[in-house]
Amino acid sequence: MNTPASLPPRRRPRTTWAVDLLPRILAASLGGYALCWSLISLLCAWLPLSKPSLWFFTGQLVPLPFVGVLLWAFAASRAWQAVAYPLALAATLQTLAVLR
Amino acid sequence: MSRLGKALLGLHAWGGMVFSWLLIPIFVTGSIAVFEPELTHWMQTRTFSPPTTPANAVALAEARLGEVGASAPVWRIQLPSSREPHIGIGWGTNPRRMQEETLEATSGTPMATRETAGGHFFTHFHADLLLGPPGRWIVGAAGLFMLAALVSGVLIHHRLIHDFFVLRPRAGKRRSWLDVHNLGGVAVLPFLLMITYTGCVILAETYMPAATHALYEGKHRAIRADVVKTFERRRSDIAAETLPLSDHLAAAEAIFGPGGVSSLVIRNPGDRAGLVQAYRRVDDRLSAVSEHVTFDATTGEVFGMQRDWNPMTFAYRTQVGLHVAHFGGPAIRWLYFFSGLLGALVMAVGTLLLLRKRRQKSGPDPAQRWLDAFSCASLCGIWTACGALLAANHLLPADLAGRPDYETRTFFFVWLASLLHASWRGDRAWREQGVLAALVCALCGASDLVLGGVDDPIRRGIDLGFFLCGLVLLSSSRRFFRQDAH
Repeated sequence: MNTPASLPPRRRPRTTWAVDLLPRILAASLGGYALCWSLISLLCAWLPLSKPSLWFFTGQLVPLPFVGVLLWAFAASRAWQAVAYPLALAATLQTLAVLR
Repeated sequence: MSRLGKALLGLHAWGGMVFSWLLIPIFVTGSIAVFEPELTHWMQTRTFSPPTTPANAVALAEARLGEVGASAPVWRIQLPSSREPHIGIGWGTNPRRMQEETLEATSGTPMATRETAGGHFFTHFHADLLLGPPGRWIVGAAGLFMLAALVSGVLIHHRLIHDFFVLRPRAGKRRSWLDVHNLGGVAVLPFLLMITYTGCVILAETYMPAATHALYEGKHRAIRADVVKTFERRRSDIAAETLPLSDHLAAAEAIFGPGGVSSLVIRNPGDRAGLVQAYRRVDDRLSAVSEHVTFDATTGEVFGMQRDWNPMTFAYRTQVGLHVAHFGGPAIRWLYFFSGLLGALVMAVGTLLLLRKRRQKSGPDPAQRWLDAFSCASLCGIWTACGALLAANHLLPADLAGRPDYETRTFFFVWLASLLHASWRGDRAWREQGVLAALVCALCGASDLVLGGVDDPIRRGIDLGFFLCGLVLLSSSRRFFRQDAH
């Protein structure tokens, strides 16, 4: 008899950790760091404020990009999106910062 | 539950558990650190001096500094306050590394103080786990995760308002525990958002130096130099008769108001180019900035003054002030203390809920044992370790060399022992360690309360605080950590 019931129980794929979770954790930490760094670089390059004003203003914003990316990294439906979007955004912001 | 909801719940629950192993000790020590000066007073077993006038205190400090630090180029005087009822003096070459002494506020006689890690231990552990910059990275990461956990918690728990009015203590273990987690979480949510956000901002100076690199070539010192004015000059090597410090104090109080000066720094005392700098107190305002005025030591003329701040600096320092809670007096300190501990409780209950669910699903496998052990050490072990530090402070011989190191080692040794005990005892560890932590705290407070003798409101307050912490721990261990609680 070859019904589905007689097949050995399907095991959960063991690759979940490496394929799905690990990229998200990396996206949350490294992606968050990259986005925060590039956002601050961009603001420092373009905002028309004095140096100390810029430093103390951007210092107060630091947690925001981190939290955004962290939540995105686990909310994104596919792992590659979790990694790619923050990094692409960070690269764009950094490019705009360097253009100045 | 939707896919998104599941993903956020997984992040909230599993991430929350792993980070709670760090965040609970950070919250507990941070709550205790609100009382840092009082704890230092307790740990040094200083005698309590009745209040005195600032002018009197400055005169006593000047006389003592003239005896011990006549040749030193920098003096510092910390005036007595209600939280630190003594005079602190320092002298030396480097303002950051001075020789220090504590004087009795009414007589000016030096006090015999014990060498101790002091209340600063708790602040230090709270901010960087005593690891320096790497520790600030770790604590910063935990704080950033905490923010994300708060946001994801709110998103998961969208029936927030509804559940706020629902506590079902008899509705079955899991449901009532979840109520405690949700209700407590909602109640302290504003505090947790504020304290975590500001904490992450403070630590960002270390872990996110993007602006320092973009604007100051990575040099941290340059930032401070840009916003805090300094008024200094070279010494002339010509001796001169200087005005008594109480005259300068009176001039400074004319600017900052009576009792408005918290400390004095004297550069090149007895020299023609000597300067006296007075710092305004910071404990009556939200923003942690200290206005300052500098006088010529011989003529008493104003040499320089800073009372205005860059608005962004002021806003940033307001975040610092909100975090360190020097404003607002005892009411705010107790509010911070209880809110912080309530935050730790919310995290602990969340962790317990996850552990319980996992145990029901996969049984007591070795992984479960270690998850339980880490959670138990972070929740109960941290209290035992803090209590042991204070017990060591009172039990170690007063003249032992390197006392502060022994105190710190006791703390970490007891914490490690609690982890090992928890991994050995499994389920039973929760209750045993809860009771042990309660006993250590209660006995520590009660014995000092009985043996302390002298009439000292600060010391009595700390004793009573510990005793009460012990009682709360004891009753909650009985209530929460019963065998069937799991």
